[in-house]
Amino acid sequence: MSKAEFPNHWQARWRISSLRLAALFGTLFVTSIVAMMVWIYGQASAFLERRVDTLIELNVQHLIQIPRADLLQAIAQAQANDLRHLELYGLFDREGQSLAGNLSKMPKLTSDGVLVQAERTIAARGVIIPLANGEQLVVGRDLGELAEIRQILLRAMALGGSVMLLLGLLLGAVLTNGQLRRVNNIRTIAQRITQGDLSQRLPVGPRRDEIDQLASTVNWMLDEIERLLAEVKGVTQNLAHDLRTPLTRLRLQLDRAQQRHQGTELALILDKGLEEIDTLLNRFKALLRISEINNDLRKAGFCSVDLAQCATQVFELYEPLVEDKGLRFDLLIEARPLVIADPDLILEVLSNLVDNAIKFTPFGGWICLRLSLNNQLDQACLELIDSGVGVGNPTPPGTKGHGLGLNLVNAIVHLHQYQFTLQATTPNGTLARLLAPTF
Amino acid sequence: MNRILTIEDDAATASEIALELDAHGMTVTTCGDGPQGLALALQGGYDLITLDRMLPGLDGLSLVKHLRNSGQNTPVLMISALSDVDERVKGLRAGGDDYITKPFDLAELTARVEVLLRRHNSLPTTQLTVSDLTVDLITRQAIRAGQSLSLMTKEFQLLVFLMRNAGQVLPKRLLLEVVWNLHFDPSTNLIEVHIGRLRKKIDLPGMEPLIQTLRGSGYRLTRPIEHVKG
Repeated sequence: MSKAEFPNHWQARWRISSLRLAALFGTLFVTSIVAMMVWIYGQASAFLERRVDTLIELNVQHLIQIPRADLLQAIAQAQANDLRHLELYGLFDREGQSLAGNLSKMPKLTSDGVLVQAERTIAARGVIIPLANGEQLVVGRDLGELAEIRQILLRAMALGGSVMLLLGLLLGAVLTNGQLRRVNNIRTIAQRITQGDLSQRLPVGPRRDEIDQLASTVNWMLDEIERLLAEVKGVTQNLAHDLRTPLTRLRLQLDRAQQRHQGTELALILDKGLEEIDTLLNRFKALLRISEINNDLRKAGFCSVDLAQCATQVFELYEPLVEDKGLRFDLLIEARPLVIADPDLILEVLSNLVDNAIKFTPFGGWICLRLSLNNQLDQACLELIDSGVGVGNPTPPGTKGHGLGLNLVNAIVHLHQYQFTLQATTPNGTLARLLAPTF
Repeated sequence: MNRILTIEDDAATASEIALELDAHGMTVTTCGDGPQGLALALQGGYDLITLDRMLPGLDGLSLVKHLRNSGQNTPVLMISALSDVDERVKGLRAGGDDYITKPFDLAELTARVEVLLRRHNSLPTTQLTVSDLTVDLITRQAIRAGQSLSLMTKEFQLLVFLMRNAGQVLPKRLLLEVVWNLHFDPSTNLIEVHIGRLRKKIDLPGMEPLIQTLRGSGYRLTRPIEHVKG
């Protein structure tokens, strides 16, 4: 799969359906939890407030039954009994002066039952009861405990929510990674298959989920393709054998007849017939060879190859021919990279390219074979540049050949999994470039 | 007279091979299937075997393996309709001495048979001489009529092969295989150009030309070879 389809890592992850599902469910889950906690908090707060109010009510009920003479004593007693110092008491005269209790100044009461003092805000709920003699009795209860409980509740909710959010994210990441790993694994194998290794199959896990089902279908498809290719290959090989035997006989018989009639007019006719058969056979052979290389993944001849040696060999082989055609031939060896290849096939590729360059370069032109190394990409770069007529231009008149040379080059390049490009150069000429990974 | 065993299931091809080799002074016995061919080969008494790759009963690869395992070292020229590089490699690894693909040229078949016979029967030498041309295989020096010749590596190899098989017509494809290790036909006049260069160096002005071109068949170095034991 190309990089254009996966511009970056995170976009790639976001496209995984499980991550999107996990995010959606995570959001819903967290929202529900928060709503539930807010409700619990509200309920708990209301309950605690009611409880405080009930306690205040009980204290009030107790104090208002006590005669005025004993009230100061009763307030002192109630204060003494309140070991946690949560209860508030105050008896104030008509002028608001404190007569008893732990409130030094007369507080005010808000509409929602909270006691407020001007000097300091007290977090307390309470009631103010006017007595018959004009005095006022204040009974309240500190809300510090309630606030503390509320804080505990809030902390518990925040902690619980965070843990749940984290767990959700972790689960999403684990699911996504698992799916992404499976998808990447499938991509790697698919790449190997497109490179020609039809024996590869996609992994099918024991879960039989949607990816496994899809992989099973693709594997079944690959089985069929492999079987069909094997059949085609078998037919081609049988055809090769079946056609070659009669062609061999025909050629041998014409050859024999030509030898018997040496020096006669018939021999000349037979000679032309033999030439035609040879042309036919050469085309037939080239076609079969392309099909053999295309269909065949056997790599018996593969070994470590010194490309510089191959280039030199082809240079030495063609140099006299190039010179004879009135062309200049240069060999530039800038590195000596080693590649894994079938040396015979590499020689065939180079020969075909040089052969082509010679055919398409007019008298006085030049051809250059250059071998270099791209250290960053660990690639050997073999280039053949000529000053010929360029790619896509008509073949010069009188050029011989069956036109299958480039098909053969492509088949061999594909077998080796190299990269090959052919492009026109300015103002004229062609650049053929072969890129091979080094080791 | 050399005795040849031709194991070939196609009767017409077998008959043409027999006629051709017979015309070159060889006695040919033909056989149409694998097991019988192996029995004949194991009996011995043949100087060379031409062996089809695909045979009824026992294929050519297995046959040559059997033959080599039983200690027979008669040279084997494998003939096959399968031209794949791997097939050639397999044929040679199994014990074949040379490999030719169908359809082949009769002259090329004869040339390969004769080159194999000569290679098998020749004695080790350090020097080759044809007419007034001498090549020292140790010092890699070539001398024609007393004049030292300056030859490039491939030119020297080409000359040595021509001299070792002097008098024999050598097809272009065989020269490409032996000298340049090329197992395909580059479909150009490459060999003509190389022969032309060699010719200019060895056939000096006023001297008898040694390299002959046989149109459509190949090249031949004249005068029979004289071995000097080393």
